[in-house]
Formats: sequence, C-alpha cells, structure tokens
Amino acid sequence: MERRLANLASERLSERRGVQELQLLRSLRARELHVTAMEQLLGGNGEACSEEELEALNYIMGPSYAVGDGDAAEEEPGPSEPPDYQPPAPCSYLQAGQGFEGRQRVARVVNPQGEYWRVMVRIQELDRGRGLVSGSMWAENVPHAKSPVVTFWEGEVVDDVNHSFITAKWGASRADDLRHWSKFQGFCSFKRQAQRGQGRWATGNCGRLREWPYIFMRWKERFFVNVGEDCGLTIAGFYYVCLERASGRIEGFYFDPSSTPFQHLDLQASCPGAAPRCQSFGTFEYR
Amino acid sequence: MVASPADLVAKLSSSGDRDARLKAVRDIKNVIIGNKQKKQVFVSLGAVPRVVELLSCDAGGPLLVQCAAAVGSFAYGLDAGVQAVLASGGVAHLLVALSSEDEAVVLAASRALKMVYQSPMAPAAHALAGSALTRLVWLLGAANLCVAEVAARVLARCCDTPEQQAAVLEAGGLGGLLALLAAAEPARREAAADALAALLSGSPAAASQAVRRAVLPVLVKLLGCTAVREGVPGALAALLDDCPALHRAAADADAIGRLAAFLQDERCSSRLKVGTLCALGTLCLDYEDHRRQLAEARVLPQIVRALDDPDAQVRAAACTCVRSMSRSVVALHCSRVGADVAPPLFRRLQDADLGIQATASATLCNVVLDTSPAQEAVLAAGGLATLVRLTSAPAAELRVNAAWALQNLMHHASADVRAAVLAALPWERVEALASDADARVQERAVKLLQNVFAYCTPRDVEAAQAWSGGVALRLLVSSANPAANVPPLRRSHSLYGLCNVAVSGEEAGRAAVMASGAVPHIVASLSDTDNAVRLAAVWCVIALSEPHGKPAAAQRVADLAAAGALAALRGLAEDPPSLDIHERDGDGGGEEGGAGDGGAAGEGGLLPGTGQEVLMRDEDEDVVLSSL
Repeated sequence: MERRLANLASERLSERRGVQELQLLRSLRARELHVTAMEQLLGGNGEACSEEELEALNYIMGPSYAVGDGDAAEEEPGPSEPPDYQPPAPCSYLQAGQGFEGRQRVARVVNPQGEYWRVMVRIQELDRGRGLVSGSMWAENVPHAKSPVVTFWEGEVVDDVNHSFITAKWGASRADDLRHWSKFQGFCSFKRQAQRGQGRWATGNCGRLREWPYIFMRWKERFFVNVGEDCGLTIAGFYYVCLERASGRIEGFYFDPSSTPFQHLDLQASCPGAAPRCQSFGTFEYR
Repeated sequence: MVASPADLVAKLSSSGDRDARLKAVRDIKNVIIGNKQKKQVFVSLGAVPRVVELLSCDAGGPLLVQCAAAVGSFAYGLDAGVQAVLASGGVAHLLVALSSEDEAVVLAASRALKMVYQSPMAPAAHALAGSALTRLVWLLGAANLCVAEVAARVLARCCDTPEQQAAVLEAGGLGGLLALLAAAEPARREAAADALAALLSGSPAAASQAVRRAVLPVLVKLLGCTAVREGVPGALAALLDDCPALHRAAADADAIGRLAAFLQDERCSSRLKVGTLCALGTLCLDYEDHRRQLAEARVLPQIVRALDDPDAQVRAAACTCVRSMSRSVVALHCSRVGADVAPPLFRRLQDADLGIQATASATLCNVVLDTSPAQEAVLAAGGLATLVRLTSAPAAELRVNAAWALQNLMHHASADVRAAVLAALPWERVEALASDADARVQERAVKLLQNVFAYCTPRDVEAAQAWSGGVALRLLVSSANPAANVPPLRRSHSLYGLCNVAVSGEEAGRAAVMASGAVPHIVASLSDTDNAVRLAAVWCVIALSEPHGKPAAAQRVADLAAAGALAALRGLAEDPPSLDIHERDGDGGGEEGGAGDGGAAGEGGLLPGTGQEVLMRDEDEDVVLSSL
C-alpha cells in the first residue's frame, strides 16, 4: 500500500515548502536520469546495449522478444530438445502460515530521510501447481490511521511454468519489469550467469528457477481488510518480491506509476516469541 | 353403453381371444390418456401388471403397440402409475420391444420409455448387453426423432460401470452418439450429450478428453435452450467430473453465469437444481476465478436456501456447491461464504442422509478456518460441541471430517478459540482419534496436535500439556518413531509437533522435548528416506539448538551430537536430495551471506561448512571441519 502522493505532497509542502521543493526537484532529476539510462538500456535512443544487458533483456522478455541481432530466436531449442521448465523447489519459508516482519520505506521523494512503516506479512495460501500465493499485510505507523492497516493480497510466483518475469498487467511495462527485477541481488546473479553463457536461459528457456537460491514473486493487494477505500491509502500498485530461500529474507519494491518509485519492503521470516532462526509450523488443508 | 373399468381389466385376461384383449387395451388406453383420475382407477384395479404381461408375450404387432402406448400413458403424470409400471417390470419389456422388427412397435416402445424417463423415479441404470446394445446404437440413426432420442437415453443408462461403458463403446455407441450430437433438434442433441457424458464419466483416456471437448460446447449452448434445459446441467456435471482440463473451457463459455441464472428462477425444478448445483460445485472446486464468477452472479442466498430444501438430492448438491465455494482464503476473506451458511450446515449435520452429513461436515472443515467470517458463527451455534460429538461417529467419513475441522479450527487459533477447543475436546477423544481404525483419522489427530502447539506462548504449551495430563508429548514421540509402523507423512507432522513444542514452549518446551525420549527418533529421522521427514527433523534440531550461546542450549547440542546428530547431518550434506533440507541444514543465516552471492545451489555453495553449523558452534569447529 502507499500513501496517496497528492495528499502527501499537499500536506508536506505547506509545512516545509522551500526545502522540499528543492528535494523534489533533485529527486525528479534523478528519476529523469534513471529513466534515460533505462531507455539507453532498452535501445530507445539507438545506442547499442552491452552484451550482458541484451542477454538479460532477452531472458526476461522471452524468445519472442529477442533484442539485438536475432540470435536469441535462432537459439530457441527445437523439438528434439524440450524445454526444462520447472517451478522453484519447495521452501520452508514459503508456505501457508509463515509470518514475516520488517518495514517498508515510503515517501522517498518527499523525505530523503525516509519514512518507514512497520510491516507484517502472513502467507495465507500457496498453490505451487498454479504458482499462486496469497496473504495479509499489516502496516503500522501509517499516518492518520488509528490502528494497523490490514490489506489482503494475491500473488504470483515466477515459476517458469505459470508465470514469467514479464508482468504484462497492472500498468507495468517490460521496462518497468527489468528496472525492478534488476534491483534484486538474486536477479543480478542471473545476469552474471548469462554473461558466462551458462544454461539455455538466454533464450528464455530458463530451467534454473528450481534450484535458484531466490524465489521471485509479485504481490498485488486486492482490498483493505479493516479500513475503507477512503482511508487515504492506495493499493493501486503491486510489489515485485524476492525471497531468499535459505534465510527467509524478503525484499520487495512497490510499483505504481503514480506513487513514489522503488519503495523498499524489507522483511524477515518471523515467529512470535521464537528464538532466532526457529520456526513454528501449523498445518491446514481445504476439504 | 360402455364397459366398466373392472370389465375392461377383466377382458385383458380373456384367454385365447386376441381381438378381445386388443380391444380392451385400446379402450383402456383411450380412456386414460390425459385423465389422471381414470389412470388412478385402472391402477387401483391392477390393470398395469396385466397390460405389461400382454407386452411380454408374443402377441403380435397391433397388440404390442397398444400395450406400449397404455404403459407409457400410465407412467406419465401419475406417481402411482410409474410405480406400477416399474414394479411390474414394464421398463424391461419396453426395452425388449425396442428390438422388435416392427417399426410401429419400436416407435410405441420409444414413446412409452420417454414418458417413463420423465419421472424422477425412472431407473438410473439398465443392464443391457450384446445384441440389445447393438440394436440401440442402430436406433440412434433412426429417422424418427423420438426413437433416436430414446435410444440415446437408454444408452445413457447403460454406462453405470466401466464394463458397461466398454460394452457400449464396443457396440459402436461413441460414433452413433457423436453423429446424433450434430442433429438439429435440441432434444436429440441433449440426449446424445447426456449419454456421452455418462459414457465418458470416469474415463481418463486421452481419447475421452477429446470427445468431452467436442461435447462441452454443445451442452453449454443447450443451457440456453429452455426446451431441454432440465437434464442439461446434470449432464454437464457428469461431463466435467474427473476432467479438470475442461473446467476452464466451460467457464470461459459462460457456463457459470448460465447455470446461476437457473437458480434465480423461482420455478427451478428439483431436477434442474440438483444438476445446476452439482455442475457449479464441480466448476468451483479448484479455480478461484470461477468462485468469483459465481459470487458475482449473486445466487448465494439461493444456494444457502437449497441447503434446507425438502429434496435430499438438492440438499446434497447444495452442500457440495458450498463446499467448493469455501475452498480458498480469498472466498472466505471476501465473505462469499459468510456467517449465514453456518446454521443450515449445522442442520445438515443432523440430516437423515449420511452422505449429506459427510458433505456438510467436509464443508465445515473450510469455514472454521481463522480467515473465515463464518468461524465465529459456527462456534456461536455450538459447532464445537457438534464437532467433538462427530469425532466418535460410527461412520469413518464423519470422524475424518470432524478431526479435520478441529485441525483447521486450531490453525493460527486465537487465544479464545484455543481455550474453547481445549475445553470442549476431552484428551481421551484425541487419543481415540490417534488410534482410530481409519488411517486418515489418525493423520488428522497428529495434525491437530501439531496445531495445538503451533504459534503459541509457553503458557499455552503448559496449558495444552495439562489438558493432556502430560501425555501429548508422549503421543507425538510415539508417532515420530521411525521404527514404528507409522506412515512418513504422519511422522513428519509428529516431528513438526515436537518442533512446535520446542519453539513455542521456549526453554521449558525444549527441556521437555529433550526429556521425552524424542532425541533418538529425531536423529534417526535425519537419515530417513522421506524428504519431508528429514526436513522436519532438521527443524527439530534447529529448535533444540537455540538460543545460541546459552549453557542449556550447549548441553542440548552436546546431547544431540552424542546421539549421532552430527553424523546424520553430515550424511545430509553428502547426499543432497532436497534443496529445502540443505537450506535448513545450512540454516540460512543471513549473516552468512547464504547462497546468494552469485553461486547456484548446485555448485555446492549451500553445503560445505554450513551443513553442521547447528551443532558446530558448540563443538570444536576445526575438528568437525577436518572430519568432513
């Protein structure tokens, strides 16, 4: 969730207009420069991309979107070499009932010191077969909210079977996808693999997510559980999410074209009252 | 002057006089057509068995035609008439008449059977074989619409078992029915689709899938045809059953919206309701967007009302539908299955029909989850006491569902719910469930116990131990024993239960687990052949070895090592069967940098040096590492 930018800007500007205008201008300039850099990466200005960038791009865009000289399309495996798509292996931290705690940094544009909400997440359901996940998110310290704001979200696991790195909805362009996935260390590792020419995934036939140390997801908040739509918050965007399988750490970046960019979600698997690294395990099944 | 009914009935038996019999049957037929009262009179006089008897003898074409017509008339619009026809074996004789060489006889028998089939009391299955089936398949191509339709309806009733289905296929039924499916008349197409659904039901063969795909659009289209819609939803349900691949296609063709529209119609008959609710239940079993479509059709009140329908088949179908609708956290969160389902579901737990009781209790398993708005209503309506009572029901299915519901109720239970369950459920019931004759019940008992100790405080663990008289831990230990004849799944959940005691109970919980005799089982489970068991055992070791740096933890680690845990963990490192186990075996540890530094798991980044960290911190690391 994200505070409505317009309201936020209006409140803050009336208080510390001069300083913040300057900060805003700096931020916008930084954003402009960033967008320019991305356009360069995508070849929008006619300049050539680096080999690494091209390979990364070809990977996440898939074989039908080969950027460059077309080799990627030619490398697509034929019928004699069936794709080896497999979803990520099961992970103890990604199952129904698992909790996470941490914070979300918001309002980077307005306040460079950062404004943080304490955030808790609970996975409610996981359907590995369909690559679907859902859960609840509690946000504390939310301005003007008397109690934690709870939202319900539904998500997709990037699993090479049901869902790819390409979002293709929720207002996210392919460039947005690349920009956000690239902010995760786990995705950068893919790019390094590509540079070394390992695997076939440069053609889009990844086959590596099964054993990859990270699980990538998208979480899309669907509705507020305990407040109304007029609570001053928006859930129009969605999170790009990366779970580090071994540690249970989750990073996320909120994406909404009309909200502060790259709001950072930083969570750690948690179990109330438990010693560090210990987990409690519940179990339920639908009948 | 006309003969009295009694005279006419008497003439049916006039021996040797074929013409007199023919005349009597014709007169009776002419009198009863369209007249329920007359039918009732003749039924009371025992006319039906006598007419059926004439149908069975070699009486010649004209008499058979009149007899068939009379039997059909008796069976139409009068329950007593149908009962009399069925009781006297009339259907069997009509089926024989279908094989007649006389076209007029075949036509009359077809019409009569069509009338019989319109009754809910009509037989659902026939035992036909060989030449009779071949004859029916031939009749599928008859020029007469009624004959072809009835042939399909008879074939639909000849598919009760895989052997019967095979016999119909052998007789060429598939081709004949597919040809009929292309007919112009909706009634014939509907009959063909119904028969095909019955013919393919339960058949997983790829060829069957292909045929189902061909039948599906015809059925969905027929949903919009008022002339034949009565039987279409039921045929659709049969077609979709056991064939999830078609669910998407059906929903995409707006089957859910069309079916829901039937329920909105006040005149919806019981037969239509049953078929519709069954089809909706099947379509909503697995797909969230299908549940969403049904919710958006705004027929939940009708479905909830159907839970109390006087017709048992409607109640059963409604239970099935509600159960499907409640099978997701989104559906429960969005109150699509809200508190108003709880009271009728409870009434269904007392239903005279055991199958309905079972489906209702299965539905309760879903609606008692903590994400469900109905949970509170269930508890307020005395649901807990009912569930506890059902744990000792004679029917295993009810015991499974009751234990399952209690397990789900305890998942992430609030303090109030936790206390209420422990107060309502005597420990002796849990012990009884854990040793139930049905293995499914035993599994639920262990899972229930796992949840009792999950996500709670040391005080809750103490309270649960007290509830069990101190033996809950012993039950978990015994069912975690690799030497005992316990299925791996149940052992893994027992180990998670022990892990929960150690985590939630903190120091006292860890001490209790160490003293419970669980350590040898945990260590042995580290080398189990089952991935889930090994993973659960690793989590137990992690829970017992914390908190790092405390003397008590050091002692536990030493005890675990002495029991062979270190060697077992080393074994896990050397034989990497499961990524999740390695991650736990390495125990992640964000401070270690994990495996995220560019190395793929398969390159060994997860294992060397981290595999034994759980124990190594309290051992001589150099010695341990050099031994690897």
